[in-house]
Amino acid sequence: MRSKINRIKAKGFISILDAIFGLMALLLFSTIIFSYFQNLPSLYDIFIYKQGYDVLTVLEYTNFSNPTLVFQQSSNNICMRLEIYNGVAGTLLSTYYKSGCDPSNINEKIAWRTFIDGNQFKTAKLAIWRK
Amino acid sequence: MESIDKRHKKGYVLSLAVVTILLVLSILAVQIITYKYSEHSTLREHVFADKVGFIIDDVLMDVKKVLSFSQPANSSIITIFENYSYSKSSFLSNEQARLNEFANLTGVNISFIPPSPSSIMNISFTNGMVYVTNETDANNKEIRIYNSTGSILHIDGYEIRIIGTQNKNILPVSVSSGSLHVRILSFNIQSGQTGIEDRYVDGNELNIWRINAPSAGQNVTILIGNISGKSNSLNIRQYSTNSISYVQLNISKNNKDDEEGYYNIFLNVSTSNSFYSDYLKIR
Repeated sequence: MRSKINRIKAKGFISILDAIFGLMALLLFSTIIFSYFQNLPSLYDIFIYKQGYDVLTVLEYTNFSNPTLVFQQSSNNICMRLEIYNGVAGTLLSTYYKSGCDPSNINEKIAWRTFIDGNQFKTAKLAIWRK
Repeated sequence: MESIDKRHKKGYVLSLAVVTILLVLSILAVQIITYKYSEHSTLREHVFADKVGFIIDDVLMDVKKVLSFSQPANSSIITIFENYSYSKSSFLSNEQARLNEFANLTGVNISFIPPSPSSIMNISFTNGMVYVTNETDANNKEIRIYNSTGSILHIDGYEIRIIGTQNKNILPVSVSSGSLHVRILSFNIQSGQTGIEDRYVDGNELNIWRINAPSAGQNVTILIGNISGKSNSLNIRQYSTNSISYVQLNISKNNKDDEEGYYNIFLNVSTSNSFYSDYLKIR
């Protein structure tokens, strides 16, 4: 009788142990999955890229004639740095910064655009980040 | 004995409770993951589609430097601007090479295929109208407009602005009267003077004007009307000269529909989730 009781006790103990292991496994997997999603582009990244594309489009529509003015008219909480290159990322010709912003940021996103200036093929690199 | 039974019962209830909680948590986790994944997929598609659209617009803006189309909103007038300060063949082959390099920089596959031969560029409109610019012979460049799908181009008039070193005077050679409005402006960039020709002609007849270039035997000839059996067509040709820098054509249509059309430049742009593979659209 006693050994039967002991077997049942052991069974109960193992069930609880299984449940605890299961819970730990669940927590582990949840952590892995959520950290994976954390590293994927967020809504913030999408917003930043969209802003970058819009700014570069406006810059090209205005022939890159006054980047500082375009920067001034952009959203206040966005910072930008524009680099103009000869050819495809060839010689750096000029750099423009948005006033009130640091020159660079560790979280900056990069967007590129080509444009024709006279007979020259040039590229514009826009670094953009949130203040 | 009874207390052992009670304890066993307690153990099982506890196990069952933990298993139930685990099950609920698992379902919740799966739901959150599914939601996050679908949200993320949508965002990814959105950003890639945006990027493809952005690249197409980028290429279009470059091409517009040599040949551009525009139509203001709710307007019956379309404008085609021809820039002769570029050699189209050189421009297009340079653009092709540069975009190949640019593709490596942006991580987007870009394939820009110029027309063959690259000296003949055109815009084909969905209403059948075709604009052709032929630079095969640098001293005999030619522009043609006609309806490729019918015998008449349904338009109300042309305004032609020619800017270059040709004379300002526009000489009517053979002109008939009718209902097609024609206005020609010849602007000489050296003297700053402009000649104007403004009249209504018969679009079913062949009407001819000539603008002489500075040297003898050189001229710009404008044909409007019935050209090769197609009414309301247009042809601007430079004979033994390369005196025109720009041509702006304002074409009055008989409706305000937004014109759609394509350059004869094939463009492939693709990212991992989105792609464009078609002739380059004019807008």
